[in-house]
Amino acid sequence: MSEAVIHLQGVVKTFEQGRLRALDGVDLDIEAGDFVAIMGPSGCGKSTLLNTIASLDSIDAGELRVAGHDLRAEHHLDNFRAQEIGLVFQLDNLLPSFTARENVETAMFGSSKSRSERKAAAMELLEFVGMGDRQHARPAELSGGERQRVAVARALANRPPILLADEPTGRLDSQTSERVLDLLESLHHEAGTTLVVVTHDPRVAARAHHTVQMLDGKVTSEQFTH
Amino acid sequence: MTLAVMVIKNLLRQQMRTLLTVIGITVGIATVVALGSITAGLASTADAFVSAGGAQFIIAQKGAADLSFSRLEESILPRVAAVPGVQEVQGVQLEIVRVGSNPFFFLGGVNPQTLESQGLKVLTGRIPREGDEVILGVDAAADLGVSTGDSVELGGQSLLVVGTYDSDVVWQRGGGFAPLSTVQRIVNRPGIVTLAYVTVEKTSSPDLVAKEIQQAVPEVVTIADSSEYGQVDQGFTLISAASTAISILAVVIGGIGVMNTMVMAIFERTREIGVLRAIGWPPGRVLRMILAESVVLCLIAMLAGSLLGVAMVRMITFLPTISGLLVPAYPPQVFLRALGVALLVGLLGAIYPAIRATRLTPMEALRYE
Ligand SMILES: Nc1ncnc2c1ncn2[C@@H]1O[C@H](COP(=O)(O)OP(=O)(O)OP(=O)(O)O)[C@@H](O)[C@H]1O
Ligand SMILES: [Mg+2]
Repeated sequence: MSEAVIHLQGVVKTFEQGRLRALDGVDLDIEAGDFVAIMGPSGCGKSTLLNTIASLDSIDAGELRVAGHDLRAEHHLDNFRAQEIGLVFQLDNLLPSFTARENVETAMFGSSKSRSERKAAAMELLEFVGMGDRQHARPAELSGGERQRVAVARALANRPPILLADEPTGRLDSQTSERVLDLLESLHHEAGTTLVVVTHDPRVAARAHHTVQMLDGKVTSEQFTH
Repeated sequence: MTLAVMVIKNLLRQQMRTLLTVIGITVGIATVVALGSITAGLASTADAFVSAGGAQFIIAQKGAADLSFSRLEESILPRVAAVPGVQEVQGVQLEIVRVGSNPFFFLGGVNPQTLESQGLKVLTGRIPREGDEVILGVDAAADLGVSTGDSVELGGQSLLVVGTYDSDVVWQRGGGFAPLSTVQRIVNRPGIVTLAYVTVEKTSSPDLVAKEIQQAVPEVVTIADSSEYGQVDQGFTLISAASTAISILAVVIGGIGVMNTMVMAIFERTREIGVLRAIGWPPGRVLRMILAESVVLCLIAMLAGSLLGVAMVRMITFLPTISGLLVPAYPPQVFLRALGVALLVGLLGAIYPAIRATRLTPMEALRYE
């Protein structure tokens, strides 16, 4: 078994002064290039798991290593997030007063790209998600699926090795969901990106290579399909 | 897109709020500029007055509440002249006398020989000799409707107008000069001068000579520039202090406006800031963006406020009762101070919301309602 790009061991995350154990000793290894679906009932800790992997939240106990970084010891988490992680949120979370292209560009400010390079790179990503002709549209002028695709483009801005998506199709109709999923899958195939997708949607699970079932803050079963 | 573009777009998204905030600070800055120009004008008038005729400083009566109340016995002037380093001491009497309908006619009693070195330009006629002769400023001559060769009634005494002069100093243009002894006789104060101009030998230090004069002649104070002017003019001190106090007040009010705007703008955007942090923005960049928004706001207000302040001063000095007394000055310090105030208000107003925004973990910011 090759080196895990995401490694969790005994990870505990509590809320409400420890009374609520959102993650209650999670052990999970995800290999580079894997396509993982995380499933489970509402409130079982899926988003919490994804957020800790993205270093948005600290953990209370356990080991958490992502792309070679020990997140409990890492001081440059901003840099880690910018370089290693692409994030697609449960809600699209685009900046409302900026256009699709500008939203993608916000993720590139820390890179060494010049202004025109940022613009070109953002355009290329929007083309890739099929939103090239809507580059000047603001989020309010886009449909839910279009916004989610822009969010994917933004998540890919720095070509991260790991893409984390929290119910990227949660609020989309089945046809639009398929398009977003095709997009994620092609990314996985073409760039070898490690994909971790939280979902309730069995169609997403059907495409994944690795399904993780959670319940009450614990991983209860794992299934490898391909 | 650049960070600068983001800053501008963020400001433009709540245009009305941005505009109102800019107006608030503009008024504050305008107040700072207007009061600054007026005090600078008073100071430069005082400086010009003190150094008239190439003197290094003036001496006046110690403890006089106002320069016009200063009284020096002419007999002490030789004691001043005897202080080592003093080249020349010229006593002058400055009086405000009623002339016709003008209750504030300025009449200077001087040694006529010193007039031209004081920056007066004789336009017609000549400077007065001893006796009942007077030379009038252009504005005064026009007001009184007299010209060279006519006579005028000054303080109950008829004087022959022997010439007219121009000057850069407004109150000199609106007044006149006569020989010292003539003025002493008109106001019935023989042997008394208001103050004296002291010229120091080139090889001596004016500061040291001034100190020595104060030791040798304790009845007098020496005034070398506008900063020392307050010793003989409480009004001047009062105006400076009031101007400072009002400026501070205006700035505080403007600052609260900015803080209010920035707090609202940042709280509303907490989730967005969470998104930026989540996609890898370091706290420093978020901080810079917020501070830049506030500073841009204040710099716009600084430009608008400077224009408004100058316009206000122009309007005030257009009033006939003020135009003869006050010449505002616009030294760079006035605008530099406005710039400093704008930057300070911009940074202070934004620092709390900015720090708060960056203290939150990305998750806290994302969950913010
Ligand atoms: N910031 C928080 N403060 C308090 N409790 C929290 C917080 N975040 C999550 N929780 C709790 O932790 C548990 C796990 O939440 P999480 O969001 O991870 O669930 P989920 O599996 O993503 O659910 P869903 O499918 O509904 O999105 C829930 O009981 C939730 O109420
Ligand atoms: Mg969730």
